[in-house]
Amino acid sequence: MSLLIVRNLSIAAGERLLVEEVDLDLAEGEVLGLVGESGSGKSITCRALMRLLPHDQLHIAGGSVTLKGRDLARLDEAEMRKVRGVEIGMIFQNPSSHLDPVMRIGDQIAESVRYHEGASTKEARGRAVELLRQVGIPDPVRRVSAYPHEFSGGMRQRAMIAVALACRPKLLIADEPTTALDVTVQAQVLRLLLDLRDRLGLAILLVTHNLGVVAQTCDSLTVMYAGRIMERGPKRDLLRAPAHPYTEALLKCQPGSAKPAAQLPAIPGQPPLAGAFPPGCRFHPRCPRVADICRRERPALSPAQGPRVAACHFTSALRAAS
Amino acid sequence: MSAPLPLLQVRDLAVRFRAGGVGLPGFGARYVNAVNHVSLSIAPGETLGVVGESGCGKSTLGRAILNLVDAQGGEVRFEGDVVSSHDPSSIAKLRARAAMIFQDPYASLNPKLAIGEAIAEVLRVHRKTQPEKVAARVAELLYLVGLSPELAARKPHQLSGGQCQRVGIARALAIEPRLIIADECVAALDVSIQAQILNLLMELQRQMNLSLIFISHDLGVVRHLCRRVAVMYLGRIVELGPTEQVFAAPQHPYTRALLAAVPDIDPDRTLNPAQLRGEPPSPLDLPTGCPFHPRCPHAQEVCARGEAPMLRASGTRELACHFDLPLNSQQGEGP
Repeated sequence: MSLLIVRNLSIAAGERLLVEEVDLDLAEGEVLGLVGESGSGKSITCRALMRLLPHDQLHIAGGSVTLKGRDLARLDEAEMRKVRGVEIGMIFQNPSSHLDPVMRIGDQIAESVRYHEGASTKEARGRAVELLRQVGIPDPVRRVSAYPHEFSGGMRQRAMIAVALACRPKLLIADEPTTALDVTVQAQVLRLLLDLRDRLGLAILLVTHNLGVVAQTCDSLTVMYAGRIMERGPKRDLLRAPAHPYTEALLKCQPGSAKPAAQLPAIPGQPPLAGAFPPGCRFHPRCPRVADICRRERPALSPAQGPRVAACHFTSALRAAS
Repeated sequence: MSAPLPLLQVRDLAVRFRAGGVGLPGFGARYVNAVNHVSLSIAPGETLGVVGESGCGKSTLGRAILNLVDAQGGEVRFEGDVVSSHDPSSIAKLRARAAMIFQDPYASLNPKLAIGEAIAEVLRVHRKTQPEKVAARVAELLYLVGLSPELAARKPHQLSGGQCQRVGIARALAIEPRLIIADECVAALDVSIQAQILNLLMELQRQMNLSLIFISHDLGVVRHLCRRVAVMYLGRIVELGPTEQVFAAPQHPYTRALLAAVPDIDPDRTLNPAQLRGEPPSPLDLPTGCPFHPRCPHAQEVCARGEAPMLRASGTRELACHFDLPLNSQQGEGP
């Protein structure tokens, strides 16, 4: 059964829709990759799930976010506070800006344990040590009293994971968790996330622009472009035989996939600015297979192949061609 | 008979930065050794990638070559002539033929200056074009980097990141350089835009027979773009050689670990379980011996002693390791 079910989620800034009709399904122990370029709406989708949108600017315009059978979009703020941290944990790209620089790491982990579970100071500290051990920080008994600046970048990311997991949430939202890290450290953090998934049955929503990270960690994949889902399905299918021209183009323009020194099949033009989306299919101005219908009509997400769905008028033609 | 004269020769370059301490007895100044004994050369029209993790000194190396930071030791020769910070004319001559492209396209442009003006400025400073022809040349340069000359009146904030990076490239090309040093110039861009900029760089490099030093942490990009590659770790080059050979059969244990950590886009190749442990030590406090030995799976006693191993020739490449590890040994094998 799905842990998280998102249906028809739309996010707007005033009247302008920035994200439209997003559906996500995430089962226990599953890693779902949310992929897209900057401005595709993947980060604000995550924040909307946590109801962390800056409410003077952005709001959820429609749809439902169901976690374990409860619609989060309808909870009041007090109930939502019990969801954040306890049922959903979140980690971000830049741990330095999401850890309190003047608070000991251990206190930052213990804070939510004490707040949500009413644990004593001593119990909470014990949990903090245990969590630091779980995320692979050496000498946790000593490190628990360290400040964030005493940690290296990779250790800070581990510490943020420990903070996010303090109250044993079942769902972890990871927004570009390794983008700021070096590759050797990135590999360590990805390994850690997969280990936690295996040990704790954690479901992970992994937001990233790096298709290599996706290929190595995710079970399924959702590709977003200009605020809409272009394609979603099992990872292997999408990476092996993309059904949407955008997914295909994204894979082809990776430097690793072309012959060295050959011209890369770049995607012409640039992504539209948020809220100023073109009519019809949003990818049509950059699509190599564009036809008249793409400029007029927006393709609906429809079954492409097996469990996969894609939003393209020519999905079947694509398949026939390849 | 003789090989073409290298365009740029760097010998034993060392850069260090003061990091606290006042230098009085008992309050000794501390130094970060950002670049240590780096030697490399680049031929006309050649592409050299410099890769390594953050803090390895790759950006400092690029800046030191152009004399944008002071070097404490070593020598840079451009077209055979020594470039010295004591000789302003040698620096002027270097900077008239060698340009740099930076990572952050917005930060490297003056936000108040229209982009056409930003390019014209370069033309005027280097007296590349007669005053009355500057506007035409600006239009030509914009066209060359794939921007409409109508954009000349725009300010950087009115352009996208990719477009700003193209302006950065146009500024570099304005001096009609022989050498371009590109420091992480696509790191801030989305993949679809990154591919456009890489294509542009490759095309221009070929057309103009430019030499290119491409500094990047992205190994995939370097493999695609560069014929030779230098791998840096804590201020030193640990391996240098033809890109394809280095990537196909890395010799230095660090190169092996670095390549093994890159997540492959192939969904059937899973994350390598054997990984490098820990993170690079602080450059303020370098270990004795080989700087990589505390993390190296093949480290022996000799690695921890004395000076760091010097770069030595090993077949078609250069290597800074005491050992010639068998090429087929497992990557990142634990001790």
